[in-house]
Amino acid sequence: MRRLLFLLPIILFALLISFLGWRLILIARGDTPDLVPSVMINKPAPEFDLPSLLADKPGLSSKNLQGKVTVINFFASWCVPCRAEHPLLAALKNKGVVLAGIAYKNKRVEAVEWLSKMGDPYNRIALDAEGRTAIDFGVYGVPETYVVDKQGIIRFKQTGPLTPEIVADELLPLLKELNQ
Amino acid sequence: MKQRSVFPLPLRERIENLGEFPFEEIRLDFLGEGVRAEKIMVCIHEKKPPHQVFLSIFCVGQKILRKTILSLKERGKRLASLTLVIATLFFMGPALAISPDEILADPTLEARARDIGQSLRCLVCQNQSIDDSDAELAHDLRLLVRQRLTAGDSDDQVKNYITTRYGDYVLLKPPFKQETFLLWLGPGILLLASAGGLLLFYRKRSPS
Repeated sequence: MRRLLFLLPIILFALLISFLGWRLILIARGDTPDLVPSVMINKPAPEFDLPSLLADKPGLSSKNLQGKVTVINFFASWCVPCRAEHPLLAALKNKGVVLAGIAYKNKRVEAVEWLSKMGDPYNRIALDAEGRTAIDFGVYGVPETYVVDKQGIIRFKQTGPLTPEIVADELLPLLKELNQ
Repeated sequence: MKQRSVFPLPLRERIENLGEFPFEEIRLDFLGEGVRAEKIMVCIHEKKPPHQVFLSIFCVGQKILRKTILSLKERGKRLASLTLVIATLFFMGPALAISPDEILADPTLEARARDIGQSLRCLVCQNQSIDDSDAELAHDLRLLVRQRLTAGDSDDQVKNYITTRYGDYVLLKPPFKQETFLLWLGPGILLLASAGGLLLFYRKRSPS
C-alpha cells in the first residue's frame, strides 16, 4: 500500500485534468459560465417611464406593466445577435404575446431605420438613450429579454439572444402558466 | 543665435514655455490622449486613493523630478530637462479608463468614487473593475456611482444600489456568507489539510 503512494499525485493530477476537460466540454456544448445570474428574478420591475421611439406607438413605463403579462426585449440597432433573434420576436407576436421593445443606447434615427428594415414586432416601443432603465433592470448587454407578470414582478430573464429552443421550452410554457 | 530644432516644434515650444510648469499639459502633449491627464491631476490635488501605493510612489517621484527639471531649466539645460520630462513618464501609474469629463470637481467625492469604482466588477469584461474598463456599461456605471455620491449617498448605499440590480457578482471582493465560505476559507483549509497530511506522513516514517 505504502509503495503505491507515489501514484497519489498522478491520480490527483488526472482528476484535475478530467475536471478541467469536463468543464471545457460543457462550454463547447453551450454552457455559459460567464453568464451572470440575475438577482432581479421574482423582484418587482423597476420604476421607469421611457419616451416612445416611434410617433405612432406608445412608449413604456412601469405602470404599463400592471395587469398583463409582458415580454420586454432590450435591443439595439448596433447589436448583431439582436438581428438573429428578431424573427423569433415576430413569431411571438403572432402567438398573441404582449411585446414591449426598449431600444438600448441607440440613436433614435438608427433604431427607427433598423425597425423599418427588420420589421417592428412590438406593441410598445421605448427608447432608453442613457441606458439607465436598462441598468435598473440589471441589463449588462443586448439583447436581453424579460418576462414581467400581471403583478409587475420579473419572472424570467434571457441574457443574450432568444433561440427557438428557449422560446419553445422555457418562454412559451412560462407565459402560458402566467396567463392563467 | 539660431536654435537647433531637435524636437517637433509644438513640443519644443511647450518645453521652452515651462515658466509655470503645467505638468499635466506637457504630459498630454507627449501622449496625445486625455486619459493620463487625470492621473497627474490626482497628484496636483494631493488626493491619492489611499490603497494605491503605486500611485503614491508615482506622486513622490514626480515631485522630485519636477523640482529637478525646474532647476535644470533655470540653468538653461533644456536637453537635460527634456530627458527628465521623458523619464517622468516611467513614473506613471496604471492607466484607468476614467475620462477627464467623468471626474467630479470635488476631490473628496472623486476619491470615494474611485474607491467604489475599484471594487466593482465590469460585467462586460468581468475581470476588470469598472474603473479599468473601457466598456460602455462601465462608463455608465461610473457616471451612476458619481451621481449617487453627489446626491448624498454613502459608499455602502451606492454599492447596494448596484448589487440590488446585478447581485454580489459585481463586487470584486465578494461578501462572506454561506455561499461564499469555501471561496474565502478554501485556501486556508487546503493549507491546513496538506500540512496535516505532511505531518502524518513524516511521523509515520520517523523511527521514533
